[in-house]
Amino acid sequence: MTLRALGRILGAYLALLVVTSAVLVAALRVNRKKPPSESVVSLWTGGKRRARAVVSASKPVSGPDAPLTDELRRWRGMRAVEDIVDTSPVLSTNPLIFGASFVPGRDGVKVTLGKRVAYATVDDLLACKAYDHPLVIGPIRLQLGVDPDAVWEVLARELHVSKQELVDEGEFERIALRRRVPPEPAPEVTRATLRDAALSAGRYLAHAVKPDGTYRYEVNAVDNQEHPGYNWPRHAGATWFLSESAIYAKEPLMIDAAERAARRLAEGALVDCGSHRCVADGDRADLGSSALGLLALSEIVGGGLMPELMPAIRDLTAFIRSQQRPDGEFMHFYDRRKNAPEDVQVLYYTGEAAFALGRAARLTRDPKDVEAASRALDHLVTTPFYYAAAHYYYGAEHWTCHALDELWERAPNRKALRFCLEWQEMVRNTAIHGREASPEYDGATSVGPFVPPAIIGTSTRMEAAVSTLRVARKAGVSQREIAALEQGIVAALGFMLRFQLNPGPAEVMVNSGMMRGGFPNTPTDLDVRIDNPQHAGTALIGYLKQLEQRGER
Amino acid sequence: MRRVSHPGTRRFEIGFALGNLVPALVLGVGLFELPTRWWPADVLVGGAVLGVLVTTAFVFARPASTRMALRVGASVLLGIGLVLIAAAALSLAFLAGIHGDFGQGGMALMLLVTFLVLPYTVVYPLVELRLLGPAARPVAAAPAAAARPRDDGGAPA
Repeated sequence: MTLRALGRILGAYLALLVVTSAVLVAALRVNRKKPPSESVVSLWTGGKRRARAVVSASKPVSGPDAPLTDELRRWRGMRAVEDIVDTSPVLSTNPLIFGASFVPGRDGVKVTLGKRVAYATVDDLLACKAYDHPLVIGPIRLQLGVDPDAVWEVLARELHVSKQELVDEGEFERIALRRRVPPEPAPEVTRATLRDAALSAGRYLAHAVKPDGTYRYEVNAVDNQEHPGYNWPRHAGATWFLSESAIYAKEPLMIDAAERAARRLAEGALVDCGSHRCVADGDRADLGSSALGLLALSEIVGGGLMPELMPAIRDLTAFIRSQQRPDGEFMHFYDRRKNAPEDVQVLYYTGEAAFALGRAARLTRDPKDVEAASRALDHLVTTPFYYAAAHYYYGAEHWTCHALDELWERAPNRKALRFCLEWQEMVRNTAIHGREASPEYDGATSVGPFVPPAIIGTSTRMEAAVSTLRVARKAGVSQREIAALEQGIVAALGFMLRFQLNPGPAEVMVNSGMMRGGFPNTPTDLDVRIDNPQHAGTALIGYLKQLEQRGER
Repeated sequence: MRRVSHPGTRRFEIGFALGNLVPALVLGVGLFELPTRWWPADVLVGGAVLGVLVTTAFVFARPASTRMALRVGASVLLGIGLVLIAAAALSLAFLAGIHGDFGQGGMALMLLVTFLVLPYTVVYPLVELRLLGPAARPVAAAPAAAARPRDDGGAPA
């Protein structure tokens, strides 16, 4: 083949590929800025849809002539209106293609079967937990837009046909939806909204504390069902934030819950670890439980509550210090049967220990605690000069940056400040910006271009950003860098405020009152674990306190 | 043994024969590492890898057929490269249709992946085909005087 012939073939190939791709994009694209054509009006009570009407978008949806008015009177429920702004075809019912054909939280499904039509709107898909569906193929975890089986089941039930019949004979369309009633929240980041959100998160945790001092650990907001499992580090972390918000707000409900949770920790989880006391619920004690336990107890005692916990604080600081190596690193486990530390390291624990020792030292006034915390922080931010990837590859370093902030007045570490500033530069430069389908995700930490961001991932980065901001202002970092850091914080906090269950999509929840103030896993996965409001709340209240100190709105 | 090419040319041919093994190895390892077996991908990519291995073996076993074997090997690589690029482009078009503009970060990532694949599967075989030049056409009993010098497509002497 001559060069010219090869060039012709490649040119034809490229032209065909470009045209085919353009046709595909044009066929599937929706215009989300179009005025709506139709509105899906639904009536919900107790998380169940009771009635539905599809009307012209120009028809009024409130007042005596509004659709479902009689049903509203009968059920005393909530009326939700979702506008259909555009539609596009669904190419296949192959589960992989069908699942990937929808944007989570933005798209619904319309199916036509003969002369009958059914809709699965965003609310319907949230209610049946059809978004955020993982497809696991060996080591690869693909996140699809919707779970095809869940969608087909909902629609088949609606049309009173079998799922197979629906899949074989139904004509599916994607419908781009925009919520009209209740309106989508878009709160500004101000002292008032921060205070409301932070205290709501605290109240959520307060309501989640059971009489025995343990939490409703992980709850699905849709069905209010609790998942099995418990975790002491997270109990301790949640109690830390609950105590902080309780002391800040001076609300008896939160104070009482924080005391119950702290008492449970001190009386139910403190056990012997050799000659010391540690937090553990088995033969193997982990450093993280003791570190966050120490943090929680220090917060509550430091706030003037439960002074009787002071001996437990001294016990825990002694245990944590006993786990430290000469180079500053900690041994993260302790074998209670052998009475020996295990020199094994996992994520988070060193940062947690450094932060907790620094915070506890304010109460113990023991210089050994500050010295141990300072050595641990230095170890965390020191990498060999030849390890260039250290400037591009970070773990979740929120505890490191909290430790930086905690120790700054007593043992300032400029290397740690540079570390946290560099990490935050990466966080804000890789944050989501300008997703056409979901502009409300701007500022969030991305977990991939086609999936909703995890709120906890954004929260942990923002609590670290807030700690870094406080130190940066004190350390005389350039105004330009401070402004960039703060801009990133405001954008991300705006995202978090928007998706807090305050109340969130209350119409699809069995008991929205119990979930109020919680932060879900993602905007479309409404599971709330106790560390979600903890991390988000820590960021919110931290920034709120800084604005208050600066006297800003 | 009959001599089929100059020593310099032969070294260059052996270089390409061994060079073809690199993208074949990348494709083979990539195929092997896929978490599920899907026969169209297995047949297409597996066949391409096999094809390249066979043509490389030909270069060593039958020096007289070296040019033809290398052209086939490069064409196989280019073909599979174009199929992969088309699959990636159409997948991106599908996702762009569904999600609209999905942000600079996502687009940069996708382009980066594409540009990491292109050198192996498209640029390298194109360069190889260019340097090998077109296949020689059999010349029928034409008078020697009628023979004209032909463009050798850039093949080195």
